[in-house]
Amino acid sequence: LDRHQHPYKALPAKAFWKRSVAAPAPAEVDPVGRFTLRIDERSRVATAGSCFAQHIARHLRQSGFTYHIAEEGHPLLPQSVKGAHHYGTFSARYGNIYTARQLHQLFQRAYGEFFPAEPAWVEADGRVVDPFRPTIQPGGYVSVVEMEADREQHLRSVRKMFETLDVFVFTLGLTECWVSREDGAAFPLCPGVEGGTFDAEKYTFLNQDVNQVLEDMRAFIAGLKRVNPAAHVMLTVSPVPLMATAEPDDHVLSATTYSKSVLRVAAGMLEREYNHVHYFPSYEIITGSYARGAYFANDLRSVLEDGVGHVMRLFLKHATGGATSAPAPAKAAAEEVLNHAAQALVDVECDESALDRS
Amino acid sequence: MRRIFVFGDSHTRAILQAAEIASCDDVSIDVHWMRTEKDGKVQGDLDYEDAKAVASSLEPTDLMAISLLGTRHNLVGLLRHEQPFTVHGTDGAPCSDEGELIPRAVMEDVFAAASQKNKRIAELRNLSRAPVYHLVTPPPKGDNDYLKSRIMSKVAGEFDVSPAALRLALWQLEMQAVKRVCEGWNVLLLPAHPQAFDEHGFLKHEYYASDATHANRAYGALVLEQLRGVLNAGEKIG
Repeated sequence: LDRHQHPYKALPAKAFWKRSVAAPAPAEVDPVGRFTLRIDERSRVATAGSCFAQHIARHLRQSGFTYHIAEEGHPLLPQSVKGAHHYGTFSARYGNIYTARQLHQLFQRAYGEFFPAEPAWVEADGRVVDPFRPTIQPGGYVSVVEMEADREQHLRSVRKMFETLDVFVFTLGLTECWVSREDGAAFPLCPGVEGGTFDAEKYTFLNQDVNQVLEDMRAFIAGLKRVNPAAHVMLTVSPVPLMATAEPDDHVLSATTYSKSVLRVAAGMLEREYNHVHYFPSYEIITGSYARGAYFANDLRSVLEDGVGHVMRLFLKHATGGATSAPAPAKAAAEEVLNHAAQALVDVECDESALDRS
Repeated sequence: MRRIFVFGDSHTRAILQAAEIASCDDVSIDVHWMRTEKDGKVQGDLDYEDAKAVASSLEPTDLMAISLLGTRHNLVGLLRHEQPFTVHGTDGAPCSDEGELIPRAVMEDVFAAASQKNKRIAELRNLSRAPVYHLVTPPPKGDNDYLKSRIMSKVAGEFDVSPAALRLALWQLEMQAVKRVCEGWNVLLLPAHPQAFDEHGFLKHEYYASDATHANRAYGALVLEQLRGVLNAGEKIG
């Protein structure tokens, strides 16, 4: 036996921090490990999740791949109106889905397995808001009947999406959420923020742990398998920090670390558990120390276009088996980056920002 | 003598017809259809540039009425769309049993987006020292058989008109959108004369012109009555 041999000797460069993280130019860092998902231009890729998933959706649309939209809006609607009312923001008009609980319940609601008791929110000015997608429609609905009819149509589209997609990209965003005390229905935003009235007798705070996230995700994955046996799932973790935490006495930075850690662990466990579930490290690409925070805007929260570009270059490189060109390390001048980033930021609605208007 | 200057699209015709026989010694009423040319066919009698000159010449005690927006509901929903759609009426019920639901807020924004593109109204508003109103278009006609008979000779192939309730809802939504957009330009919307509506909110038969979308001279007289009321009383309607 060679006494100088050990398992690390045979490992590739990507296993070593110095060679794969510290030494390369930031734009060339590629933290993708095991990733067996393959797509081509015909693969129907659907997206859901938190704000960061909107970036993925936007890039897929622009890069020649089949971004699968099951709820497109009627052809009468011009693109500007579709955009304002979130047709095409994601593959169906569900708005941001921040938590595993929300995703699981969306699936259940679509297939008639869960009927939340929470009624429509009727605002003081008469506008009607859907508690489960409160920011989906500027101006709200004119009546409860209209909201319910649109919700029924929406859930039909959700079923169509799940049954016809090839790849479902889900960005896990948060562990914190507010749920109904009556039946556990999870809301995307705390009641009272973008509609409804907060009532501690009716709503309670939930900060999911790893087991709860796994339970919801496993139930969702099983459900998807049932209606679409060939579907693949790609999980990412949103690198966007929490806007605010409701965890008593916690600091938002610490709460962010908890939330992202739980989601990252859950994603890793699910990837190991299922052959058709994949993890893509967009979280690491954006937050990795090699980037020295350069992928975050001045608010230290919003992800700049450069960072999104890095994520998508690597995603397309690995998901197409290298069919796309290598990432270009060249950087634009600072001012251009800021302008470009500002444009992209404007395009991405992140209704979580409603939590902090100060 | 104070002046009322009406400028707009084909809907000005009914007002012009009414003005031709109206006796108004105290007010000068000037009604013009904006001249346009399409496929070699010229319509209207006053170029936009000339209308700008007239708008500039108005005194603060005069009145300008524009009718350039508010016709899109016909393009959207007079005839049944090949991909049927519905909206909910003000009573909360769907206007038809089939087709994709377009929420009212979404449909109103469709009309607002189209209205917003017309920059002439703001331009005329800025040129005029007189108050500027935009006229609503006539309410839709509720008589399907009448519409079919008027459209038949003008449309090749098979067609069907949209359900009356849908046409009414689309007109109402467009008028809401036009009101919102015009208010952004400091232009008030002059609503339809209450006398023009039947009990269901459609245009009364007696105000039908001989085609599918326009109103007649009697309707024009109602508009003139409203305009004179605004001018004389200085009242703000809309």
